[in-house]
Amino acid sequence: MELKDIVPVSEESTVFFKTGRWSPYKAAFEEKISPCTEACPVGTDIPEVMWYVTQGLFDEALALLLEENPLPGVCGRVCFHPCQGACNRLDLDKGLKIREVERAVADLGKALPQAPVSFRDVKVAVVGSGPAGISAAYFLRKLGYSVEVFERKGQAGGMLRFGIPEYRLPKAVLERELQRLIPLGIRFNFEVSLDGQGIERLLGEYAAVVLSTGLWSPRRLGLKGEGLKGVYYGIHWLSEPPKLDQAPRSVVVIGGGDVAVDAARVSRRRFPHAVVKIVAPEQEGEFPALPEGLSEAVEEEIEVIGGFKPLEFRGDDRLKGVVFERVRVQKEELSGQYLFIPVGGIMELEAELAIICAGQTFDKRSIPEGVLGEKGRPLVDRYGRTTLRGLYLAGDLTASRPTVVEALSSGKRVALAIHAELLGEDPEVLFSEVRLGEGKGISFRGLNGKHKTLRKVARPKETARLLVERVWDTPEPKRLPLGERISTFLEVNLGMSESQAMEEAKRCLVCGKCVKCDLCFLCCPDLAVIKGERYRSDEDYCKGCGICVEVCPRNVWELEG
Amino acid sequence: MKKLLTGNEAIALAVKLCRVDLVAAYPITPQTPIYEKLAQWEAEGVLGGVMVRVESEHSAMATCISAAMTGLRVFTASSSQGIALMHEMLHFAAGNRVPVVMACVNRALAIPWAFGSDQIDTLSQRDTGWIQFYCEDAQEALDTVIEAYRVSESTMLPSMVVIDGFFTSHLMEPVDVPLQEEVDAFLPRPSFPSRFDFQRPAFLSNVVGPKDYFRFRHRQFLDMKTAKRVVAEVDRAFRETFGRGYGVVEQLYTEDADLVLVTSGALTGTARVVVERLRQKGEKVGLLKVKLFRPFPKEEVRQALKGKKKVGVVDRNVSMGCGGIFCEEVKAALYGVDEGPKVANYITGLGGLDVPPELVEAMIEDLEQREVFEEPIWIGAI
Repeated sequence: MELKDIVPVSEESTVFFKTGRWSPYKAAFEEKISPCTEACPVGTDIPEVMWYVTQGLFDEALALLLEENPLPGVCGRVCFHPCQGACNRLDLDKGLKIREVERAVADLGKALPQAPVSFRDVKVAVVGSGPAGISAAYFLRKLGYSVEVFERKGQAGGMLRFGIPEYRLPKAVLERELQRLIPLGIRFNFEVSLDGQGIERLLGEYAAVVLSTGLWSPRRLGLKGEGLKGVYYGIHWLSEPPKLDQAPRSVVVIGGGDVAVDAARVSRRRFPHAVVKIVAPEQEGEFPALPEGLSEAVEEEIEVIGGFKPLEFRGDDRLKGVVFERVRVQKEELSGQYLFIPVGGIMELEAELAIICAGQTFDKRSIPEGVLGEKGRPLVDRYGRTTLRGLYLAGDLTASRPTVVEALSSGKRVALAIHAELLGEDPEVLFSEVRLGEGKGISFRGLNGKHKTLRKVARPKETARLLVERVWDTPEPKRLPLGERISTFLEVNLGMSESQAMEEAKRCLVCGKCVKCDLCFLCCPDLAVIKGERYRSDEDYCKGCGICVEVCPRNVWELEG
Repeated sequence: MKKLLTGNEAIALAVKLCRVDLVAAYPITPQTPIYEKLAQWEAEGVLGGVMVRVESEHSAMATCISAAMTGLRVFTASSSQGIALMHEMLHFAAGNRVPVVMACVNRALAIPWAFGSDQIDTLSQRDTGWIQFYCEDAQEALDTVIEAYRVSESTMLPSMVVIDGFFTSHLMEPVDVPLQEEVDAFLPRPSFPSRFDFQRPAFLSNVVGPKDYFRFRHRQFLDMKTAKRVVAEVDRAFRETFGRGYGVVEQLYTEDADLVLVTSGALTGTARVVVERLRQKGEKVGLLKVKLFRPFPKEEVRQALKGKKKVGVVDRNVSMGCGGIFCEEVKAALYGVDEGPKVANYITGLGGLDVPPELVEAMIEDLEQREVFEEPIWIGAI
């Protein structure tokens, strides 16, 4: 009995049927921006960095980091990592420890920033060499400008050097990061103090001036006893540590930000036997400071007290105690300001030393007249432009939240804005070409069409999320033992090893970028995925079922039609 | 070697003796003990083949079909609602021409829910293109499973081996169990072709135009017709090997009988006793057991009943709006026969209702006196 006589068997191919033509729907290959990159104020291409790290290519990863950020080793330590809060992996198992991997790349990789392709005979000045100034100078130099930096202190770094303690950001690391930039040929002038008039003079000599001198004056509370001996301000405590004739037995730090946490932790290290407390108006758990710093402070036996605002500093000549009242924090809907509403209750803490960390402001003399508005704040637009033509502001002077990465971001934006103005172009147009998603980040790789900047954010579909293997046992960087921590200023976080970083990077979904995993190819019921440098769907056979869209863990397929 | 076995155990044993490669089945009363027995043997490592746990009878049959397409000997078993759920795949099996053998343990179909024997579950599948054997007892069930594999594998048509729920499936009888070597000799390893050839990729079960459809259906019809001859030949060979055989029909005292009772399944055993008793009294009563229902042994039925005065067909099933299904088939076979017998139809035993010898005797008495033959006679408990 011949099979073909009793049952139908077709050896014809179904290629004849161009079934894709029957449907108006088609799968379209569309790479996207990852949510972490969109969230990164400097626009780091995080998935690509991770992809290099998975393969152990730390040098390539560092080169890539340096394209968008002059100080990856700094960000890898102190950034408040908004990227990690946007990670698509967050609700699968754990978000990726992007900052730790960045640090490992900066510490283990070898790379130098790419030198400018062409040089322009145009001089730009940058005043202040904190992260914003460094960033502005770096990107202006990469654009080919002749850049001169003026710094009032004897060394570059600003807050990075004088504001962030050694145990979070070792000076050696900062030096290494700054050394990397030397071959670019940025000229530094140290110990040059410029006032408002001095800056106006610079405007005559330079095509543009970036003012990024930061916030170095403490915000005073105006409370009774604030002038007592033993009352200090956080910025001074960190940048110019005063010598004390005797170690205080009790320290009270006032404020809930990173400066307060650092002021307390520095106190702990300087006075190992003292009782150290942080008191802030916010409730515990709602402090603006980075949670990791705060929990490390608690480990270092620093007591954290929330819900109190200082009323008075008590003492005769020397401080003896601080009186607080219980408050709750209320955000005013219209102004967005935070109000501290007393709710009844007084607390007095014994204190031989009080450190006020209520924020900083700038010295008005350091800014040219006319740049400040009625409220005494600098008038500045989103490109850093001021009322004085050619004068740009960057860094903490412009930021709503003074952080290192925001400062780097503003320096970068100002560099591009200056570039646009010097080219006679509309910054609006230039920025729109390199904008990353809806975030603050702009991509220098995106300039000159070298790298396509993307708008849409990758969000893997539900099916793809089901396919992702959950990893709960993730690498943890080593930390200095507690005993060594409180007796020295050695760096607390010892960072990830090479293999740990690789292991962690492997958890990256590489959102928005095709890594040729071929899941789409394997799942396509019509064999309509055509592989190549850029994958595409075969219009003759793709009928838009959307399976590729559903299964792609990187969300690089879209349904069209 | 004789063993005391239930009908279900006899079938399971036959499956093992046939060295079935794959069993895909789903439990349902009263077939479950077959499944359980095979699963037990699989667990003990003596089954030989594999069991595939499926989530429904539909999948059980789909699994059997695809496994058979690769050249494997497969088995499944079901009852009642399970067979109904399998219906679509039954057509697939026959149309795909795969030699699947399935044991069916008759059970009433809902609604009303019931568990007793009733042939409606398998007779509802009359037109799916399956060969159907209705067995009288456990011995016949065991033997018929072995025969069915040989028939199916040489005709490339699937077979149902049917027994009555509880009467046959759950009651123990002495069964002569053939030796493995004997079965191996009678039923060699399957040699039908696998349909999967990596060198020649092809599409199976593809869409065809009406002309091809017509052609394949005609071929299937002719092959089904041929299958009757194959069944008879296989049974003859079985008798030569094992000393037992059944034929496509069995006649008892029909030659000189005036009245003939036509039965199928477990009921036949009861009718046998009654007919023997009446014969001893000198009454000219005969019995025709229809074993093969599809392909229907038209000629054999005609031959057996030709010239009889009256025939009573006993049906443990009913087709609503018509009558007993065996009776309709018998009547159709007798169509055009000169001086054909009058045919009465006794609907009885539905839903597992007991049909004791007294009831069969009552049918014969009724048949002797009956003048009107139009409507089926419902004869239940007396």
